[in-house]
Amino acid sequence: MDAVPDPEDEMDAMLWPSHAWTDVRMSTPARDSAREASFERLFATYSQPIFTFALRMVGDADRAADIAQDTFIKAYRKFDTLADEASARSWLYRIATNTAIDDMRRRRFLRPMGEDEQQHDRPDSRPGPEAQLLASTLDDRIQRALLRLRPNHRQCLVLSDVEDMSAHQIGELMGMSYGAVRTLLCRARGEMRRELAREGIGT
Amino acid sequence: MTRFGSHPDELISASLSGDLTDLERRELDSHLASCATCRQTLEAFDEQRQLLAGMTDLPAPRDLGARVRSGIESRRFAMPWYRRPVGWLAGAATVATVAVAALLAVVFLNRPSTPSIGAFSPTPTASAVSSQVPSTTPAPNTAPLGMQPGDLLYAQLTGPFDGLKLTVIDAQSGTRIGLSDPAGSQYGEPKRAALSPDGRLLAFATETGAKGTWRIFVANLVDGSTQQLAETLPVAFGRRIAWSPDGRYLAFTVAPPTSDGTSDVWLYDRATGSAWHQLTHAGNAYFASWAPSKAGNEQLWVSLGEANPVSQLAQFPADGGIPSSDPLAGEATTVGGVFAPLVSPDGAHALYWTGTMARDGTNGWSFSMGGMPQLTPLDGSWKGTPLFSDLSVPQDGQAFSAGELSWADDSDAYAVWGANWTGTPEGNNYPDPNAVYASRISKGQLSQSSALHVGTMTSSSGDTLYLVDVALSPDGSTAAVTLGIPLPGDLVAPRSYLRLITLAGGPPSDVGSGGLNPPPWSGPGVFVPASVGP
Repeated sequence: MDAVPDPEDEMDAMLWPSHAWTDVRMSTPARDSAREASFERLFATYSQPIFTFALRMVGDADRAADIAQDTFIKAYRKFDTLADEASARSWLYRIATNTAIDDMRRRRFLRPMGEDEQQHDRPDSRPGPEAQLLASTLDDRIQRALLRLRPNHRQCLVLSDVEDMSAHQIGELMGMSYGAVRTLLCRARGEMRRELAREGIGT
Repeated sequence: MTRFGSHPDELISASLSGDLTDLERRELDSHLASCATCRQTLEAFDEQRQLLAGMTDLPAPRDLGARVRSGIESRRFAMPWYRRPVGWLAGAATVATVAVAALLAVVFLNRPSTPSIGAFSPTPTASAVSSQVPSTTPAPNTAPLGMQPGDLLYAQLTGPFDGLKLTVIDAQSGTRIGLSDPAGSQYGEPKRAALSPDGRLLAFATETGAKGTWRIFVANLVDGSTQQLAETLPVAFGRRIAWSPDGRYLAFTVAPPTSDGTSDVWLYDRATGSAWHQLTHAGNAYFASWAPSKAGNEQLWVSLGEANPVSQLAQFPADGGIPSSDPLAGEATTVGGVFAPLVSPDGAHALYWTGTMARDGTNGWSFSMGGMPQLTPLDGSWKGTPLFSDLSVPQDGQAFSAGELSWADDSDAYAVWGANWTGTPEGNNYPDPNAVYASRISKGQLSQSSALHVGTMTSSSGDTLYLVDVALSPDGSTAAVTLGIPLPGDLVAPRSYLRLITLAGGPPSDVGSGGLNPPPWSGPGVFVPASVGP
């Protein structure tokens, strides 16, 4: 059996590139305000989109908040590895994607025996104002269908249809070729079509 | 038929995100013209895309920024040991030593009848118990920081938002001292401060950004060592911190962060350094103020939040340490209809609140009907006169819900500030919770015209400043007002102005900004009392 990399090790490596301590902590007093301002801009621009992305991925507002939080903490730690702000979006979504997948993996191991995936990943059902509740009924069914997809299908479908990314952008983010993304996306759409039908939506 | 098979689903899928070449687009168009199945697929995929894109967005949690900030701060030590710099290992050894010492200290110092504050809140920290106890050893008879009576001291918070440092500065001498940061405390904005009568110890409360709780500390201004005493919810009437007139005890209110706003009074005993104990066990008790010592007894007023609030005078021998029994359990003097009395330094008058109270969740007790501040001579009658001459309780009872009161050391000048009026404004935004109303007993009651001219309430970036704290100078001539600047996000260091305002009028001046714009957080201010000997 192939050795499976420990997600924690991967995360650790990501969080702590060899120069990170020196850059981030030891030089604290000298840190320039431009870096802080730049990170602040990043947070202001992407906190809502990253939260929404995480919510679609895991279907639970509390977990989504945790994922968004971890995403930005990791982003802060490795901020110096970001080449320029123009590439910030895909860089951030890559961190968010990995964080969400780690979260799903971890939960799979933590899940009590007998609890199935659908039950575990059920959408956020917190009550809200009546109008929101009515509006969310359809959303709940879509989210349920989404949660039944394989994680990589869910991921590329959300990136494409919710985040409006092109196959090139998704490929860069998921580490796949352009062609492979198109194939994956097509399969995800087919799978989603069947799952939506199970929810009584679509043709 | 195309090179993608009899039904080119992949082309259909790719067409939705514009991922087709011109050739593929032509191929697909021509196929769709003749294939009903593929037209159906396109329609289904397109609908699916619209459904996903049209899902209702939940707003991100409002505290997300604060959580990120807190996470960045707490990950400070999350680095694996083998990657930490060598210096940190030395630090780790110190922490381990401290932890062991703390454990021993807890074992030996813990008295069952006087539970440690740690019994119900995450404080104190290990370092608070063992390594950072402010030393109270009498030093040469000089006050720290070269302070002189009447000087203004203030706290200043500087640095990047995840590495804030707290410094105490004497505005007159310019002398400053950096405070140690008890392990894991991570200073936030200082909101209240109280200087001991000898000028050696500064008690202060800082807000913890991520949780909004307050942490109460005592700092030794001689060597900068700082001890965390408690973490508390900043309940409406639970924000007073004050030293006993002889300077031995510090009193404060603690509403445990895990509670639903229940509160009790706690004391810190400077003589033993490591002792801070719960004085009351009522769940609705608030520290109100110290009264001058009498017949060898410390005297402090404690108020109980109830629909009809009461206040009680707790007494215990000044030289006996914090009493292990509840001083309110016996025959303590009890006054009905009086809440949060603030006794003047000379013990001749008290400012206090009257009205009907209600529990307001984690905000603790506040006034639901008829809340008004009063002034009374301390002759035992408690027949006060309203502090505001031009305000009366409206017919619907909607008056003040809470507010802050201050005395100057001269026991003549006083101020009401941060007072929240729940009724219809009586005048042009009057009473204003962001205003400071000040007067002197010798000059009569407050009115709308008693509002101090605090200068511009707009920051250089156009944001409205918010009132944080007010301190009156010993002679009552000047108010040091801390005005917070709203932050553009959670990921920037806090900022404030510390503004000096003369009660007689005249232009206000800012201290502590050091020419920086925006300034770092400066405040709250405390004035050095006459009891600090030259």
